[in-house]
Formats: sequence, C-alpha cells, structure tokens
Amino acid sequence: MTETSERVEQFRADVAGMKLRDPATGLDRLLVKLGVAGLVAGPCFGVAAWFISHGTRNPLQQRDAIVVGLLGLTFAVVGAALFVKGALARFLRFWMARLVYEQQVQADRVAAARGNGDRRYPVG
Amino acid sequence: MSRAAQPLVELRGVRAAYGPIEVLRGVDLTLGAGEVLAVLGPNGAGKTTLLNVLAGLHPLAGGDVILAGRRVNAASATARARAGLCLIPEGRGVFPNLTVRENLRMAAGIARGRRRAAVEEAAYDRFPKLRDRRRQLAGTLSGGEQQMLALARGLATDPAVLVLDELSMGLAPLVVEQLYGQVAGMARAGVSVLVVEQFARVVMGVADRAALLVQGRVAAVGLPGEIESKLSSAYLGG
Repeated sequence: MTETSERVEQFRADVAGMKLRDPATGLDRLLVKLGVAGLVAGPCFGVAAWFISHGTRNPLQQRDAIVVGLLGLTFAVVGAALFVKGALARFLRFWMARLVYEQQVQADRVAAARGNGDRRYPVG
Repeated sequence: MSRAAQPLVELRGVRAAYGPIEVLRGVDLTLGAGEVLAVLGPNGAGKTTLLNVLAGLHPLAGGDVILAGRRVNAASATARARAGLCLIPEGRGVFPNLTVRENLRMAAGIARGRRRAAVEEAAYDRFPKLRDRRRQLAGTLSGGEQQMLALARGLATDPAVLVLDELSMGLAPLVVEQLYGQVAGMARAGVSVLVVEQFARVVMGVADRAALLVQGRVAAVGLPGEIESKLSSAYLGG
C-alpha cells in the first residue's frame, strides 16, 4: 500500500480531475438520437434521389441521384446500427448483471451439493 | 476549511428512493482521512442504499455526495472507483466461477502501478488461507474465505476510502474477529473506512465514530460508546 498522506493527496487529485457529465447527456442517448436521425434521413435521401433521377434525362444528374440514394442507404444502415446499439446497451447491462447473479446462485448450488467447501475443483 | 481538515467523504442531505418508496430522507455524514465510521441500524434502515449511493450505484433523489471537497453527484461508479473509493458489497462480491487467483488478478488489473504477482503475494501474506486455495473456484470457498478474498481484492486496488457492507454477515465470530482485525490494520495504515453493520458489537471496537441510521435518517452520531447505549431503543423501537 502506498504512503498514507500520499494516497490521500492522490485521491484528492483524482477526484479533482474527474470529468463529470450530466447523465442525461450520456453517450447511449446521443447514439440513439443519431441513430434516429440516420433512420429518418436515409429514406428522405432515397426519395430525393428518386425525384432527382426522374426529373432529368441528363445521365450525369442521374448518376448524382444514384450517389444520393447510396448515401441515404448508408445513413439508414448506420443509423439502424447506432439505434440498436444505444437502445440495447442498457438492457444488456442488466442482462449481464443477471447472468453474474445466476452464475453466483449456480455456484452456491454446486457448493451446497458437494457439501464441503474445502474440496477442490480441478481447475486450470 | 483547510485541506487536511477537509473530510474525504461528505454526504449532505442525501435522499434516495426505490420508485415511490423513499429510503434515505436527508442523510448527513462525514468521513475524515484515516477514520473508521460505523453506520449502524436495524434491518431496512437504508444502510446498504446509503453505501450504493456513495459508490454511485444508486441514483440520488436529492442532496450531494462530496468527495475530497468536490461535488461528484454526476460521477459514475467507475470514476469513483478509479479515484480510490472501493465498495465491498454485502454477499462478498467475488466472481464465483473464477479461481481465487483469477479473482485477485482481476483486481490487480485496476491496481495502480502494481504488478499482478505483487498484488497476489500481498493478498496471500494478508490472508495465508487464500494461498492454499488459490486454484479453487471462489464460489466453493467457505463464507469467511470468500469475505477474505473480497477484502483482499478491495485492498489490491490500493483504496483511499474503503466501504464495507455487512462484513460479518453469516460468518462465525472467530472469522469476523479476524476480518475486523484486518480492517483495523487498514485504518492504522491510513485508509478511511466506512462500515455498515447490523450487528453493532463487532464493529464498535474498531470504529472511531458511529452513526445510527433509523428509517432513512441519522438518529445519532458520536463515539461508539455513546451510540451503543442508544442501539437497543433503535432496534426495538422503544
């Protein structure tokens, strides 16, 4: 263990250096918002591309419309991925906590079934 | 207030709730550097919730959590742990499906500049029983050994503030005595300790001050001897 006063000073310094953020502006929420924006923007780009391509006979402009359409598709796919990631993050955290708890309960059951906590499992 | 006199931990009017049920109703407490503060109270008084709020695991409904003079209400549990606030939860908090050695190595992963082997050795020196059990799954250890492992893991992180929840729960008196001997040793080494206990007697010999928590409020704070005399009325509702 490090020297007491040194550790206390280190603690004070670490607390002073903490980056505090408002939980309401967390990354998960930001990702969900970006995802929703991407999901909305994607189809809009697609519709815009359709109108551009049908509003002209100029092949150069039609190719531009293809690019706009592909951009819309990219926005939609990336937006969907961000939305799913952000929306599932909280759920998965609880899922992980539950998994750890269930493993703990299972280990307790095994220990109880063996009837002797001193016996060793063949590990590693 | 000078920096030396400034408490490392300060709770100001802390409120917390589970849905509509208010559990903490304006708790004020301080913990100085190198001090051992025992928080006592009957079942359901809000002791564990208080620790979870301090560690950042339960949201505040009101009030402030102040570490080293800085309001850290918005700091995550991870940030508080990285700074040196270590919570050993009720129910031991070890990974049951990992061996003793693996549990220690996981703690060593966040230890400041210490090699894994050094962390392991320090843990085994402190709790020699763990050395014999190092290849055993943590979930198959006895309750006392699991608590030793939890304590060893906590110490491996070189905490500045150690927060202990019901260290004695379900353990034989001899084991409890041994564990509190270690806690006293840590306090002598300068670690600030906040310990929550339902069974007051075991912690009174170690604590510098004690606080009595009843129905989410601090009913009394003082020297352990002073608080001990108020315990029976708090527990029995007299």
